[in-house]
Amino acid sequence: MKRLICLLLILSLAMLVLTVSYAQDTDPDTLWAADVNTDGVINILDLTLVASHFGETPTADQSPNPDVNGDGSVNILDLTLVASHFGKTVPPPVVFVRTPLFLRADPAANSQLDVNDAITVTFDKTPEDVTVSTGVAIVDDKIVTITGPFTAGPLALTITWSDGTQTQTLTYTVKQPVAFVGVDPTIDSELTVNDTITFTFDSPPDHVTVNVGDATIDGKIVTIQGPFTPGPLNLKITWNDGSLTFTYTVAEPDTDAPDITSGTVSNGAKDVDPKAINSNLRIEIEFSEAVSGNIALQTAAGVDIGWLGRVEGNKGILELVKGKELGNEITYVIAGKVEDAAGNSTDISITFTTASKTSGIPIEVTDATFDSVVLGSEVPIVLEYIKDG
Amino acid sequence: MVPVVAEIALENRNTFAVAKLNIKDGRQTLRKYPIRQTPTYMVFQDGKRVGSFAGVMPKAQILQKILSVIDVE
Repeated sequence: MKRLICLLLILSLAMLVLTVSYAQDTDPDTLWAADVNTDGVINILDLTLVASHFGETPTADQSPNPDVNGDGSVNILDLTLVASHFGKTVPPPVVFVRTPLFLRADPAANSQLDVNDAITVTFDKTPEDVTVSTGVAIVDDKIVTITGPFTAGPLALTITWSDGTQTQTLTYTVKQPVAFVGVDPTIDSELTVNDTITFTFDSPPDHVTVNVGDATIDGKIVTIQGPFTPGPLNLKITWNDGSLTFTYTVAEPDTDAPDITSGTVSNGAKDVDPKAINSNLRIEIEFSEAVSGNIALQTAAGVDIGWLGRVEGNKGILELVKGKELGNEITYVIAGKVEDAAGNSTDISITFTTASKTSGIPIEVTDATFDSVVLGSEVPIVLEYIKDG
Repeated sequence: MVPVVAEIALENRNTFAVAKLNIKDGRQTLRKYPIRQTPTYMVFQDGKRVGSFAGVMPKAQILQKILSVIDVE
């Protein structure tokens, strides 16, 4: 019965206001509110919805909402509003959506990039339908990360978003990749604990890291200084444009000092023939390993007699200087100090005494030996004629 | 007692050598380098006789005569 009364009320109201409905203001907000069922037309269905909730107090977010004038209750004013716009078509609501704005890029435009760099572009809100002219774009909220590798040379990177309606072009210069040229010592060679490994590139590398030791960069040269752990060594060097791994073997530390293994004269030697040494123009000492250092030929009193001493490889060499020949029955000392590559040192002190010119004992000669002993003598010789038996 | 000539040989071993020739073992040498008495001393250097003297005399005198004829380096 109540529904019938409401329906009659609605019909009478509709008829009542039909004649004045076209004279009413038709602001969009009122039309959208009067289109209670949101079907785009204000008609009997909307009146029915209001009537069916007549007297109720709907919540603001109720859908459909029969409180057309928004006064908190469904009453005759709502029915009147719907009736006054009865038959009107309601335009669809205009929704304004602002496109995301480009804020900044990192690295900034017009700067230099490495081939494998990433460019980070920040928007004020999450962009949609992002495409890039080069590389791969990954969108994470307001951040778009564009990764290479990029081609060396000028780069014009165009970013497009919002269904192609928005674009931003960023220009960069992509640096030529830094190339590895060589390494010293060569791969697979043996190192000592404190050796240095030197890498050479064709241009200064950036962001150099190594998995062992510390890298020192000086222009195109990267130096890795030990100490390295004895055993196999896999050294990986990484720079902005690549990485390489080199294998070495690190030897146990050398703690042995160099030894004197042989030489022209030995320590403590007596009756050394000075003539033989003088004619050979040199004295040599051989060491157990390659060394550096110095040696000199001295008298027993420590006075340098002026021979030229040098150390090369595993040899110590003393060269005769004209006028400084060894004499007879003189004690000499080869003195000096040498050091191996590991820093183990050995003091050198080789003392030797040269022989006298003659034995000092009269030589008995006969006719058979006269020529060789007397006439062939290298030193003056006094022949004593004796009558014995 | 060490003979004088042996002493001279030892003390001057870096200057000259001393040799002894028993005349019974040196007849060919005597023909080439004859003497009139013993002891006689002949000094040779570089394969040539550079001096000679004879007779018993003190050590210093013998040495002086030897050194007077040899060319010491």
